[in-house]
Amino acid sequence: MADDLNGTYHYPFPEAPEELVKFGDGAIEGRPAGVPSSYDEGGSLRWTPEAISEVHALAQLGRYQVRGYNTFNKRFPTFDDLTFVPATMTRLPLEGYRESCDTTTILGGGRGLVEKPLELKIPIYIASMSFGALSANAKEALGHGASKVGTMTCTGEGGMLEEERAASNKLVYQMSPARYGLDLDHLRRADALEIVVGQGAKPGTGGLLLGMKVSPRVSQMRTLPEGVDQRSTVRHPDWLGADDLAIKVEELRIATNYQVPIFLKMGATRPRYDVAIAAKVGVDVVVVDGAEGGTGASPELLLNHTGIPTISAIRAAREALDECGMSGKVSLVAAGGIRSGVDVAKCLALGADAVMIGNAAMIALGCNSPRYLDDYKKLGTSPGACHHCHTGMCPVGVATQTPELTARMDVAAGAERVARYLTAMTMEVTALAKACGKSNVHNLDMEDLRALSFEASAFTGVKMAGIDRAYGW
Amino acid sequence: MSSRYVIEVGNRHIKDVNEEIQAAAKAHHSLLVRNTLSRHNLGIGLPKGVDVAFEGSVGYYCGGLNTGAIVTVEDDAGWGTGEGMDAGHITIGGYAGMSAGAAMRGGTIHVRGDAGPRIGVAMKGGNIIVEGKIGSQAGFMAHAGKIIALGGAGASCADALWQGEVWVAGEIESLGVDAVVKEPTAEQVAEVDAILEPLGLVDSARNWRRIVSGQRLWYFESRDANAWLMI
Amino acid sequence: MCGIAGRILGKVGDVGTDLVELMDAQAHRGSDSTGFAIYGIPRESGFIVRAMGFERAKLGQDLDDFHYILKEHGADFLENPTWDNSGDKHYSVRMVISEPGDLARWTREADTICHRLEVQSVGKSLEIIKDDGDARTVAEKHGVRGMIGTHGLGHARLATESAVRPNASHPFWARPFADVAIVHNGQITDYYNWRQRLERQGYRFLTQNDSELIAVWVSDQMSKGMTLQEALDHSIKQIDGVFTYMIADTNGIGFAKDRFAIKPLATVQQDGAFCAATEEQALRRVYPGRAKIINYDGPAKTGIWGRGELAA
Repeated sequence: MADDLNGTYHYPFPEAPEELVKFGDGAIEGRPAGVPSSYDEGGSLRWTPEAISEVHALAQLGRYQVRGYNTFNKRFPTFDDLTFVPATMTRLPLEGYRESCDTTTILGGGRGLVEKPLELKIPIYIASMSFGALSANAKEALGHGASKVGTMTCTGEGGMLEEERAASNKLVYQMSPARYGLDLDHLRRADALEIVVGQGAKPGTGGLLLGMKVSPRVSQMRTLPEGVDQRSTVRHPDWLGADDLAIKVEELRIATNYQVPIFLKMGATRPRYDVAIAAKVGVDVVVVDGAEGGTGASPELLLNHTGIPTISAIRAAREALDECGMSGKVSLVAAGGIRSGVDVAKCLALGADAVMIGNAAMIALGCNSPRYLDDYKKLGTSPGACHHCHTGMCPVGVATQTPELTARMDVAAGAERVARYLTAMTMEVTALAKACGKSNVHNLDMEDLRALSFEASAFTGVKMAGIDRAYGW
Repeated sequence: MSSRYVIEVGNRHIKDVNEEIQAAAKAHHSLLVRNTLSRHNLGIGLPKGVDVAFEGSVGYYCGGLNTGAIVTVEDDAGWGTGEGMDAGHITIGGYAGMSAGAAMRGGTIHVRGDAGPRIGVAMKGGNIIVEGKIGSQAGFMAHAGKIIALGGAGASCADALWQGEVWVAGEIESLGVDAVVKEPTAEQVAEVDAILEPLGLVDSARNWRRIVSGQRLWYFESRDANAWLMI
Repeated sequence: MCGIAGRILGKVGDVGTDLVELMDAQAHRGSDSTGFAIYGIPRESGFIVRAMGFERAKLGQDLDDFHYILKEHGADFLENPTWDNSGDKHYSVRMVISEPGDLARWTREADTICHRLEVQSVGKSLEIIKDDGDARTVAEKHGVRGMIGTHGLGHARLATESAVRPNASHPFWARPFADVAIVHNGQITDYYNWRQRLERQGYRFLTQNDSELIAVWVSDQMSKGMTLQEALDHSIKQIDGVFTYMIADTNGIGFAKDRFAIKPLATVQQDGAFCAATEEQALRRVYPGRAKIINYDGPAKTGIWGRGELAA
């Protein structure tokens, strides 16, 4: 089996000293030997400095690399490949500064099955990020910030954090395969349940939380040994296929007395089929998380080389719901790499009913902000380029469990920044909607968009700018 | 007991059945659920202080998310019996299907017959006692709690445990990844006997194998943050 | 992703009704389409052919062309074909034919018009009926409850990666082997590789459904000299993914379950009859009272339930 490659082979010579394996001879002081000084100087297109450094790193570590944040893959067609085409002569715009535009977003009411569908004031909410990946202060700040603007947060897989429950007017409780800290009381205190079968950053694999972040409180909430490298299961323990899931969904409805909607979150891989199945087995909301989605920690290969872009995932998901007659019955939430109200508006136009933001919300809290510069330097990064969620050494206290660092995350200030950011994003969405002559942000559609690249048009079916035809197959 | 409340399942909507069970549990100490026909999702989220007996066999997730009820299944149970339970006692008269006690946090599951694969998968606490044989991958990634098999165990027993323990008195087909057999101490045996005692299952002649994690899978590489600074 | 069922009766009886009940009880596992493979009273000579046409308006032309190919292979209709009179665009037709000189060669020829009229089963006793919708809908439309026979298979489909089309439903006929049908619950993850290999050997696939592969794969192994039991055992090592499948021929039903112990199967053998289903609650439709249920929850299991071996 390939599980254990450290077999019985013995070299016919003494094992090399670790120092030498790690290129210890003549290495530059303070620079890990896997990162050559030619890093930013360019070279072969095939063997770029990044490709070379990756080989060096794997050769020293004997394992794949793990890191947090989101993808470094630069080849995704993004939201920036789409542009809005506001009302001009054929259509009449609404007054951007004066006329109102509805942003109310209802999730999970389409089937008419649950007593309390979620009513959000805005079409944006905070993505599932666990306590464990994030500090308690960060979770609490997100909760208050979201509550202030009438939207919600999601627990993530680490169980229900009391601070977050108290802070969030509306809270989605995530049921991950590992079921950390899951109990009936928490299910019933949630405003919605989210069954997670995957995430955009690392579809096809379970959660990952390195030992540095498995603090006493995290270990207690997850029933894990302290300091252990937590690698969660990818499959749920008690249902092993979408057909069984139909029964599980019924159980959860009974457990919550048919009160709250049930979400299903998936990484975007084959959304055309996956979303149709999710809708057919009976969930109320499907969350599709594109490959640009972030994470606290993941094998880097999965971050960079799995999944499909958010913009194409939304189209496939919407078409899937249309095809199986579930549009209107099942809500569609998009996530993955959303940075601004402009991105949100594009998601809605492509077919999402709402979006959730993870990395963006962390950044609003202070992630990558230019403070504590020495600490960034110790990590070998700098503000604007930090991706060290995995080491738990987050200089600004967002993605860490170290008390000295979490203290840097001020709950009140963070909450206010999140609230203002969400407000600003919503303003951006309405500004675009009104420019397109729409009095409700949910009326944005594909016709309001044009593609700026062949790829974006081919991946989404949005008409290409100028010629007004979708890239034909 | 004269005041045993009887509930008929048959072809009724399972939502209605559960509503009736929940309502009856408030007024009666003892419920009998009849004509179960191996239906799924019977007795979900049962409260403390009630005794619910299911006649015949039940389907998936019976007694799931139990918070303290005493549950008895006369014959067999389907998948995920007592999944996520917090407290209480579930007895299965016959065979327990796949993943019984999945992610349970407390309480006891007692299986009189054999158990299917992945019993106690991802369990976080509590005890599972199986009088017969446990299926493959028993206790897969169990975080805590004990699985005690008086019979044998299937392949990949105690696969990838965290802190749970699997005790097997009979033959073990094969051990799972990172599973290690440890000689139990007298105190540890006494602890297990204390769990078996109320069930009348103590037998001093048993040759216990106590299986715990070898902890090889606990650490990806190192608890040292510097190991992860490469990227 | 599906629910499956198998039923064997000690003697000829209402196998259609039993299978409809078994599938109706599992409709929550998938209602995109439902299908049945029913082994009726075997014919002495000739085959029963079940086929589906895709354009009702062209039914006459389709049957003429089918008939023409049939005659080219030395066979003919023994009875006038009959078809459903629903208003659906697609239609299901039942034919009784005399035996073509070479079944495999005739099948290949008949498949040249499969885009218009697709042969779904050929056998001395096998009849495959499948269509869009749940068990009740399909049973009602095709009169499945009225079908008598010795044994059969049932399938309720939750479509995964191939289209929801009436002909992409299960059961699948192991073309071109008469009287062999399969139902499958799960996903084959090395489907594309296997399909290409088998296509290079000359087999033809009519759908994109991974389950169709199993039917052909097992039959191919058997045509190379393996017994059914050996082919079942071999499939566990050779086919990747998670599955429980059942394969039926005139003698009974065989099953195989993957090495990961993912997909369920519950069975009961009682009073000289046998029943298998994905979920135990389906078996209770047929055996509502006391019955000894055997669950095959474990990994890498195979077996054959022969019609002749059922103890009363």
